[in-house]
Parts: sequence; C-alpha cells; structure tokens
Amino acid sequence: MSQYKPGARLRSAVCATEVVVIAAPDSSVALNCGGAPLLLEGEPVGEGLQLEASAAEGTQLGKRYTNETGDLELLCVKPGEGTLAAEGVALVQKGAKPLPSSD
Amino acid sequence: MHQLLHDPASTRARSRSETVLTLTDVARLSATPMGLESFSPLRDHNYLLLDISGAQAVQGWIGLEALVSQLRLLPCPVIGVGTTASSRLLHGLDVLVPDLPSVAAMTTNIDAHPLAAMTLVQLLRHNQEATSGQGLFAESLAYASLQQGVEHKQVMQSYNRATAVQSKIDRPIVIERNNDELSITLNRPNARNAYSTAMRDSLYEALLLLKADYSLHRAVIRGEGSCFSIGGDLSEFGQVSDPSTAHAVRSSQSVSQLLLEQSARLEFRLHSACIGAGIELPAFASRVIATQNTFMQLPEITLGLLPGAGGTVSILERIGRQRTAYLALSARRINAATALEWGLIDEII
Repeated sequence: MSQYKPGARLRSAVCATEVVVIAAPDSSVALNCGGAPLLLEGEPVGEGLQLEASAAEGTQLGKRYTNETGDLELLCVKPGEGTLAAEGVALVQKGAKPLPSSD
Repeated sequence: MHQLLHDPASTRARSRSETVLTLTDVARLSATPMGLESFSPLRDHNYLLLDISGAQAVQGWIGLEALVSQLRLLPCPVIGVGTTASSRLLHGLDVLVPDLPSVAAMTTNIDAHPLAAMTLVQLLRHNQEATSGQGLFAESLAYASLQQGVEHKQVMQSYNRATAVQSKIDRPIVIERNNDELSITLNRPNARNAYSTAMRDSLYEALLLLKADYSLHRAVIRGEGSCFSIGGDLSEFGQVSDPSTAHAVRSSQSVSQLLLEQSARLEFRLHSACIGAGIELPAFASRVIATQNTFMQLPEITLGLLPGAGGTVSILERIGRQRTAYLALSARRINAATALEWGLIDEII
C-alpha cells in the first residue's frame, strides 16, 4: 500500500510492464501487475515472484488504464504480460472518447 | 498580355489582373483617395503583380515604409516579380518569383479560389509576426472560415467522393519501443497513409506517451508502404457539422501543438509523396530526413482551403513566408533537392 504522485514511474516485478502515474487517489492504494505489487524505481524485486496466470492479460504501450471510480490512471510506457490491478480489481483500458472529423 | 503600365488610372479599366505594376505605379495609386481598393477578390484584381526588377526606391508620393504597410494590408496576394528584393521591400511581398511564366502556376489557382488565396496570404503575414501558438490558433480560425465558404462548398459539390479505403489493419499507427527510442509508424499503406481521424487520434496518443515518459530520448516517425503520407483523408471530407465545432476539435486535441512542444525529440523519415499534412506535420520536427524520391506538395488551394494541419506555422518557420506562399498558391510539387536547399528538410539519404 502506497500513496502515489502523478509522474511517478512504476514497474512490474514479474513482467516487462512499466507505467507512469497520470492520476492517483489521495489515499493509499495497492497497485499490482501480474499479481505482484508494482515497484517504485530502485525498489528491489522480491524473491520467488512469478506472473500469475489469472493476471496475464497484458499491457499495451501508450494505453491508459483506469479504475472504476476514475481517480486512478496509469499510462503504460513499456508493455508486458501482466494485468494491472488496484485493490485486487483489474484496471480497464481507458477508451478515449474520439473527437469528430474537423474537415 | 502582360504589360507594364505607367498610367494608374487605366489599371481599373483593364481586364482582371493582367497588369504588372511598378513600385512607382503602386505609390502613385496608393496616394490617391481610393488607394489600392481595386485589389480585392470582391473588386477588379484577385492579386497584385509587382515588377521589382527596376528601381526599388520610391520617389515622392509615399515612402517605401508606408507603401509596404499598405501592401501588407491588401486583401489579396502581392506577387513580386524579380530576382532580388531588399529586406524592407520583401516585407511587403507575399511571394517572390523570378519571371512572369512562374506566376501562371499561382494565378490560375488564385483566380479559381481568390478567397482562399486572400485568406492564406493574410494568415502568413500574421503568423510571421506571431508566436507559434498564436499562429496555430489563427490557422484554425482561417481554415474554419474557408471550410464552409463558397469556394470549398463548390469543390465538394462537384467532387466525386473518394470511397473510403477499407483496411483490414485497424491500427492506423503502430508504436514500438526500443530502449529509449520510440518508433511511430503511419500504418495505412492501402490508403497511402491518408491522415484520417483515427490516425490523428492515434498519433496524438503516441505523442502523449513521448511527452509523459522522460526516459524516451526521441521518437522516429515513418510511413509504412509506398509513401510517407498523402495528407488529409478526402473520403472523410465534408463530415464536419459546422466550422466552430471543427475549430474546437482542432483546439482540443492538437497534434500540431504536441509536435511543436516535442519538436526537439522528434525525427521524421520521409519517402515519396508528402502531401498536405504529410509535410506540414514533419516540418515541426527538429530533424527531417528524406529519401531522394521524396516530393512535397500543398494542394489545399485547389479545394478552396489552406494548409490546416499546422503548416502555416511549421513550414513558414522552416522556409519563410514567400516560399510557403509559393508552395500553397501554386500547389506545385517540389523535389527533395529543392526541399533541402530551402531548409524544408535537413538531409537526403
């Protein structure tokens, strides 16, 4: 459980995923990827961690991921195999509302 | 036929736009109460041809400084004909061409779409003295004023709508990361990378990634397939509901603005056709590399429009006002060698 600031860079302990925090709640939140807690820069990887099969839907480069309440948003800056989750609930890819043609 | 006139009174009676004035003619005209009012798309002349091969000083009537100020306010292109112009005089010229044959490519387009031509040169005069951000704002407004204007509407009415190219690939942009380098590829090869709404939004997303991740050293942008990009997707033209919403769209999620911000970290690699947005967007980057077979073209005036993807800022910055106006008024292609000589690109490979 940690509090995160926008701009913070986090990485997965079990896959190649890296994210930048775009928005985060004021309170502490438990962030996971692939079933293991996301790590801050420089934080060591714990022993014996493995990608959980139930959390292996993958992340896509350049996509934004958000929770149901929308107060948490992560931008994937390196893709990987794990699923991003907050408080045990998988984050969903944020579908940007497309703007109409301007021509 | 073209002829030099020294009796300003007779210019009004002449057929449209076939006279070449000297500086002295213009000075004499502008000293009259009516001034240069016959030079307007709504009056006798869609453009003013100014022979500057002779004396570039003005005797009597009005000083050069005042004359240039008047020229910059004319609601039509001022085309200088001659090989050199003093920087003071150049300030009053929208285009500079060496001889009359070079003028024809522009005047055909100007006569077909005089409102677009007027708006273009007014915009370039403005953007030359504005910040880049102000320039993008002005360009969007100018574009909005033309996109539901009579000239563009007429073109669209007679236009046989291009059928949308259906692509099995639903990723108009492909992004990949190799360590600290981002690779962005325009990925609609079947449509010759026409800049669709979906491509615009995906490119915006890719550039946001570059902006958000400081560890990315740079992004390299290429086009998949036979050419870099043929510009705006004509199959999507005419979809806009109204010009004010179109302006809001351009203001809300502006690829041009992001390219401008990230310019130092951007490199474009061009090949073959770079038309409209296909050169307007690359021109923002700090580094533009092109293959030998690359060519550039700004054809918007033939649609009754002006370059609306930031080109009146990005291309203006790279090659100056007179050459930008030449490209946009003539709608002629230039090759990679000319583009390099003008500074529109930085290297040919």
